[in-house]
Amino acid sequence: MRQNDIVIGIDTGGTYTDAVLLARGSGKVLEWSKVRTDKQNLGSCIREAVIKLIEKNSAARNASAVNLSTTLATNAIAEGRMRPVCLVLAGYDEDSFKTWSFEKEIPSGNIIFVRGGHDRWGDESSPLDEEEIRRTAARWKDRVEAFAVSALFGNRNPDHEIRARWILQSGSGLPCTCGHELTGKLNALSRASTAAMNASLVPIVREWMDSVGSALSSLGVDAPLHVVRGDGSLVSSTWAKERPIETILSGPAASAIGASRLAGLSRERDAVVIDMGGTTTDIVLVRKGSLKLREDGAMVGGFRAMIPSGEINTTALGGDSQVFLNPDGVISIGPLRVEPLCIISKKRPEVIEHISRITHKGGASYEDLVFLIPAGKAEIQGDRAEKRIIERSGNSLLSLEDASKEFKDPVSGLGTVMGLVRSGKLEISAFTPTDAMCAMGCIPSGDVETAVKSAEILASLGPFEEGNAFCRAVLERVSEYLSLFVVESLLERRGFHGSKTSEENFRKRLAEEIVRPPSSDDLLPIGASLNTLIIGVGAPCDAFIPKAAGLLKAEFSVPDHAPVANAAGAAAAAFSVRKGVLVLPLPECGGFRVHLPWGTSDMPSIEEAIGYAETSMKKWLGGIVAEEAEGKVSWKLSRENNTVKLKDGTSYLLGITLWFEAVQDR
Amino acid sequence: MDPVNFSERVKYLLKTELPRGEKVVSEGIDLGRSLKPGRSAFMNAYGVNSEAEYKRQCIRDRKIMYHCHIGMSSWNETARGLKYLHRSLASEGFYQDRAGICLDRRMALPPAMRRNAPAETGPLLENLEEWLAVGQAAPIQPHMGDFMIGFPASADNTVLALRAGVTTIGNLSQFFSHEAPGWRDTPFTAGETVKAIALMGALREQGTLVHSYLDDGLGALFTDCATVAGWAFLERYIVEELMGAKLAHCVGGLVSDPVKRSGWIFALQEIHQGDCVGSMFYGDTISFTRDFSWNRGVVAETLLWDILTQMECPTGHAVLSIPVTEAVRVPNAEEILEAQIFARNMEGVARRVHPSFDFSAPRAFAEKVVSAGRTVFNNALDGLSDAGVDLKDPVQMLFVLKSLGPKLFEETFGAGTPNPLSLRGRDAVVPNDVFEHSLRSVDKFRDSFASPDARSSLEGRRIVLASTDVHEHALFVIEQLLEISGVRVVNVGPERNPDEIAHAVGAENADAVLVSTHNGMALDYANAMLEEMEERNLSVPVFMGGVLNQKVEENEMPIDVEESLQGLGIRTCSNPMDLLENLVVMWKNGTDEAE
Repeated sequence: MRQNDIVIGIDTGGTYTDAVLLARGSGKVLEWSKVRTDKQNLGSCIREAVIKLIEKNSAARNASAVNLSTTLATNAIAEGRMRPVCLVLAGYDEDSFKTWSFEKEIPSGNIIFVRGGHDRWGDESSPLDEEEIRRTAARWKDRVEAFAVSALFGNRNPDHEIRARWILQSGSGLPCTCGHELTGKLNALSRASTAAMNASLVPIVREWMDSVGSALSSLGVDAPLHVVRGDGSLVSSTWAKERPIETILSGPAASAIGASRLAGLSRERDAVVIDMGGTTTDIVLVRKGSLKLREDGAMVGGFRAMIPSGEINTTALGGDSQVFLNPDGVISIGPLRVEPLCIISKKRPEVIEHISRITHKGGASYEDLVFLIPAGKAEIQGDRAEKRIIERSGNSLLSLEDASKEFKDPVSGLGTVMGLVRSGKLEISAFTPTDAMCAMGCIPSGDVETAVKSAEILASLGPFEEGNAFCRAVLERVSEYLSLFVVESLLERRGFHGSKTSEENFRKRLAEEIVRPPSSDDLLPIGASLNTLIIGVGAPCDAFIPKAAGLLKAEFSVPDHAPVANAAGAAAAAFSVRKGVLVLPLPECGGFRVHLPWGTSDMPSIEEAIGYAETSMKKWLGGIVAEEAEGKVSWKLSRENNTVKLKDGTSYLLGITLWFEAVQDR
Repeated sequence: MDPVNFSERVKYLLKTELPRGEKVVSEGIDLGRSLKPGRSAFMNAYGVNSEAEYKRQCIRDRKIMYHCHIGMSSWNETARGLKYLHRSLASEGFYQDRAGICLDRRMALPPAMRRNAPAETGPLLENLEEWLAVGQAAPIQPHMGDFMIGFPASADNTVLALRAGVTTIGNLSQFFSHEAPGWRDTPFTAGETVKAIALMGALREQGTLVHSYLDDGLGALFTDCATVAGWAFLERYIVEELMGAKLAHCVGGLVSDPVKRSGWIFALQEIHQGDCVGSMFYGDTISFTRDFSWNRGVVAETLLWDILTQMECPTGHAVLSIPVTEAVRVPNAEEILEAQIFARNMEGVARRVHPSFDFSAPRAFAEKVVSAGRTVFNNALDGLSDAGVDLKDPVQMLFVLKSLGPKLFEETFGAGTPNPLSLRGRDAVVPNDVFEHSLRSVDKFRDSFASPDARSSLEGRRIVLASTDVHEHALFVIEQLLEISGVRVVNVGPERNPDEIAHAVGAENADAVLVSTHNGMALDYANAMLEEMEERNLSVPVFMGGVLNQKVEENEMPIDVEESLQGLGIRTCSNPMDLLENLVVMWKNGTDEAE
């Protein structure tokens, strides 16, 4: 018997899989669980997390829904594990593609150009070459797992994409993605790239959703599965299986929702959500209680996906980032993620032996506390020096100090070692903020002796009185990095978004000036205070957020259940679908053309055009949302006029975009 | 990439699926046989059955025919203008023989497509009633010269015009260098054009004339008058030999030298084997300035020569007196009337001068271009036949000739002495005026474009050049100038649609686009072009020059939109120097402004 008032939220993150049981009405976290993520077997991680949840509260079995937030799609693209697809492009300029090397921007090598496409009015430019598409289906069906199709101006008239999909699906039995269903924006190249990415994710996400479904039903949980999208809204599993690309960046979006709910953020307030993990930290902007969306799509694995996503900045700073001690005694952190010393020493006791030895001996270097560890089952290849390093690291504990003695020239030697790390043949273990927290007794896991001793050694190398002072300095440094990152992210939104080195340097300098407390002799004190609330979530945030907020003179909150904010956000997310409809004036005949998701219609007046768009879109979108949201739908309508000013001050209308958003009513 | 060599190019073109000439011709003939041409108010007033019959009477009686051009924005205004002209002239004791009705360019499209195409100046005839009214507005014979034969709606429009009592219909030349707005299907247009001409052929005995204004077609794009003459032979061959219609040639708008103007009448008489029946003789449009008194001098000189030539060598070409305001604005009815009265006065002058006038220079011109033109014609027929074209199939002939374009045609078949330094690889037998005119403009700015500053910024850049409308000579001048600066110019030509320009930018890897526009749709066009580029992931600087205005609903006249265009991100320029300065600033020291 399903209980309508409770929902399960699940987040499969890179390090942990979290599950939360949420009371729908109050938004309260009833129970939560956390298990380590095994990337090879995500389904069983979810199963394990849900079992723990059921153990704590058996009502979880009767949850009314299971909402997932996942990095599955993001990681598949970033790690290049995409399934093979064939991309059919109708009406695209093939010679342009060659001239401008556009194919590099498309994550599929199998591109077929066919005749077809429309013009900007949605009038057919050239008839669709259906015969060629039929041949393509037959030729490629055994070599790929999905098809994608995009037509020139397919967003102004989807007819060719819809016809092509029908031919491809019926001729191959494989799924097919249409570009116009993912975005209504111009830029045929980005639409093609987005469609191809989506198609290659379809089999991955289908298989995953199926395995999650059967894992849950084996536990007696038969609630419907929903998925969080990159814009923070919830969709049905059917929708997600067809449009998996929309689930990329669902993690930070769910975190932002979870953080806002857990912190009790009101509908009127803005917030900066800092979600800190082991490897990276995300910053997500919340405006007036909801996720702020960006217009230009999301970059994943070097490709642009034209899908709505939150304003998210990510930096390579986390609890497991490497801590460096520079020769001048200054601490720097990241960007490399390493194995914390207090964790590795639990697996390899020789680590603490080595550290104890150098404590007695004295005269240690930073490199004495950096260890090279062979990575998994990596094949031993490469030149002689590389092989020797890998072999030695496998035979016994190998510090970077000892490894560098293998090389005549230590500088090039270091280069070789780092090359092995980058190519995934070696991993590094070194001091991290996690070690600093462990040494100070802030976290329960990890070997305290290793953390304390290595902190003492590092303290002796710099201007620190003892290990504890060094650890405090590391935590302060992390807080400083976080505050700089917040300021830089906000500066980017203030127009300082250049990507050239000089612009990046300027942005960094300005951020430093803003964060640095002004001194009394400053002629131009720049220091600013943040005019918004900071909400910290993620496992290690407790140790850093108060200090970072202090530097920014900002109000902050680290809510209860902050470590599982993401899963809580997934549980709290609501259904919503937003679509734009373009209305273009038809020159001189005085009419207007309405570009709907399934075709175009001409209307004699603007009022009739808008009325027609409203009636048909409400029927269409309402149907999609009502199915999952049990009939309770409310509407947000808005209108954007694209005009240009004339000399006499009047406006000349170029087009109108009508926005329709169907939202699950709670 | 399309082949550039003549025979390879023809072979490539012949792979295109075309309507079969024989079939289309017989369809046209059937259409013609089932049709009974209507009678215009003019025919009733003068007791003739066609304009051709009237023209032959004029030739016999050495009577001068007068043409005027009327380009009001709606049919009602046009009709009012015609009535006013007739009444006013009659009160002075004159009559108006014929009037060219300047239709909206959308008339070239099949009716269903007209609605979505951008409007231009001129009336759009939307139903049979409006068509039939064309012949009845006043006893002035209507001439339907533009956007009829040579376009996708050729056959449909021709049928309607004939029913309205219009018997001189064109314009075949436009087939070769014009395109209906947004239209791409040239094989279809070739078929419909042939169908319309065959239809006219079936009614030849009823006095139909297929009008072709050489300056509107490739005639204006050849550098040598001999090539123009050769082309006239070719058109005559296609229309008369292959389809049995009567061809009425027109020239003049781009000819400013009065000797050449007069000479063309003698030449056309020769080309039409002594049986030339011309439609009209266009006034000189390239010598006009913004100074009306200067323009009056131009009109006086050309009218005198044109009328004298008709007295010496009557061909039925109606003389056209252009209002002196035409270079500045669309003339109103009063201005048209004033020009017509002036022409009647000039006729008096001509009659006094004629007995002592010497025509040896025009006759020499005619002899030269006709003889060289015959060579061009024979070269072309041999060349086309060798390359596999069926010389008996008018559809194939039209399609191939259009697709070859003026440059390849003149380079391959021109009659001048080969000279690699000349524009088309040969010295012209008699240089074409409009090219000489453009070359003078090039000379004026040559030094600036050749300056080290210009060259260092522009050399090696690729620029796509295009016009939204029929205006082509600006393109020619800019192309020459940019090439002097070392720019690799991709001139995609006149009457390009926004998507064609965007396609060229992509295919040619262009660094910038220059668009010339004159037809009152600059804002709509720019917006469409920017969207077409955005859709193709292309982002290059776009320059627009010419007359930057836009028709806006409430206003009768288009309004200036230069600043609005800038608001869309378009860079505007008013003359070649302005353009050069903009380009130099943008690309100084080989870097982009944006970097």
